[in-house]
Amino acid sequence: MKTLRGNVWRFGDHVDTDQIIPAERLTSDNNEKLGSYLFEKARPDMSAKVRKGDIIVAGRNFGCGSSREHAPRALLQAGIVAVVAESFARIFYRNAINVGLLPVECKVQADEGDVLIIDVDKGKIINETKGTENEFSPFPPFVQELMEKGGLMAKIKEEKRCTE
Amino acid sequence: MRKYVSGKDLIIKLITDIGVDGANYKTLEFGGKGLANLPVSDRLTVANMAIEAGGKAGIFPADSETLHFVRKFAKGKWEKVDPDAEASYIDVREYSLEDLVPMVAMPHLPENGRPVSEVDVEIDQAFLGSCTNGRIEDLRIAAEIIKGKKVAPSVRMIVVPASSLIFRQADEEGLLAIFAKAGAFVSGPTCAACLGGHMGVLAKGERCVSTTNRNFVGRMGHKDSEVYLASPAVVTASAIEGRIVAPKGASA
Repeated sequence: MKTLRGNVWRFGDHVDTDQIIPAERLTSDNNEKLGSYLFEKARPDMSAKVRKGDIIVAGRNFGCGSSREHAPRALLQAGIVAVVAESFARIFYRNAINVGLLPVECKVQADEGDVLIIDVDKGKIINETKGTENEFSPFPPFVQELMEKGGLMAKIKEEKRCTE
Repeated sequence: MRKYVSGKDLIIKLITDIGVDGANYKTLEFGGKGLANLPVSDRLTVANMAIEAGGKAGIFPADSETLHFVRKFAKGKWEKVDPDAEASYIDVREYSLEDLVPMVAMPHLPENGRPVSEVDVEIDQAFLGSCTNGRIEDLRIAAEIIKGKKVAPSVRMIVVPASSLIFRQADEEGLLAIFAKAGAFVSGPTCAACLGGHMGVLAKGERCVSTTNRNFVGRMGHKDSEVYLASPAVVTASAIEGRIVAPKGASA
């Protein structure tokens, strides 16, 4: 799998799904606008400033709250490609994988605006700004395959096309 | 359990003790002698909110109460599953149900539980309902407390039965009329204000005491509003008083 490189947006512990995407923005199945409401209440300036490829670094229990997959989807649509957190709420974790957002469980030192490189195959995170390096357990092959294909739905659609 | 103490108080206490990630990727299994005093309706509230501790599930052994409930509601085939006698657990916590007191989870995490007797908070809204506490037993307790009384003039009380079945049952039992007479607004079954969806969406600075399961920043509306999680008994007593209190007759 490819290596990711992006700017850091820094968050703390227990970032909940209502913060990530407020429930009142989930009024349609057409989710194209979700990204523009990302962290609308918690960090109203963020969605306009996020650049494609940016990375969130957070503390414990990222994504606690709801099982609605709009949360990882909103992050992706805004341009976030990976979340690096000390731990994830399990209600968010697999949703992230299923929609193609990389959730990396790893404690890293990073400040807002630092540049982070994630080597997914080797399980390495390099903070280019600080010159520090951390390791994480590489994902099992089936998860890597899912992520490469853009998530569970994309993978199933592709397989369906193959059998038709 | 003491009068007006319920499964909601037990689960708020437990989440406060272990934290909102205390059961991350784990299952909370409940058991012991106290189960005999915990009706299915309370167990459903406890199991529902196991998720707020990060759990994958909250489960109870199937006793005669469970089987009675399942026979009434389950469709299709089902099988009773019991924990193994030699099962081992990552952690075991013991609670004496008779020592529990009415609890409230302060903003903005379900782990911020405190005894109701220790808080002094004026409210703008009282919300009774949701998947967590919109069952007929919840509505009965609330009706018992509010019968013949009035919702405080400064408070909007919103009552939302959790399903159309419960709505009709509450209607037949005269509970909806009791709420309406007290000045509460009764809605058809919906998630409603629980997640800031509609009807009861909080404005800036407003505070709501709610029987729902989450109290994150902006959960019920404006980012500067506050949600306090509590039992149907506490929500109803608070609606009458205009501030968060336990019902009279509940021992703190």
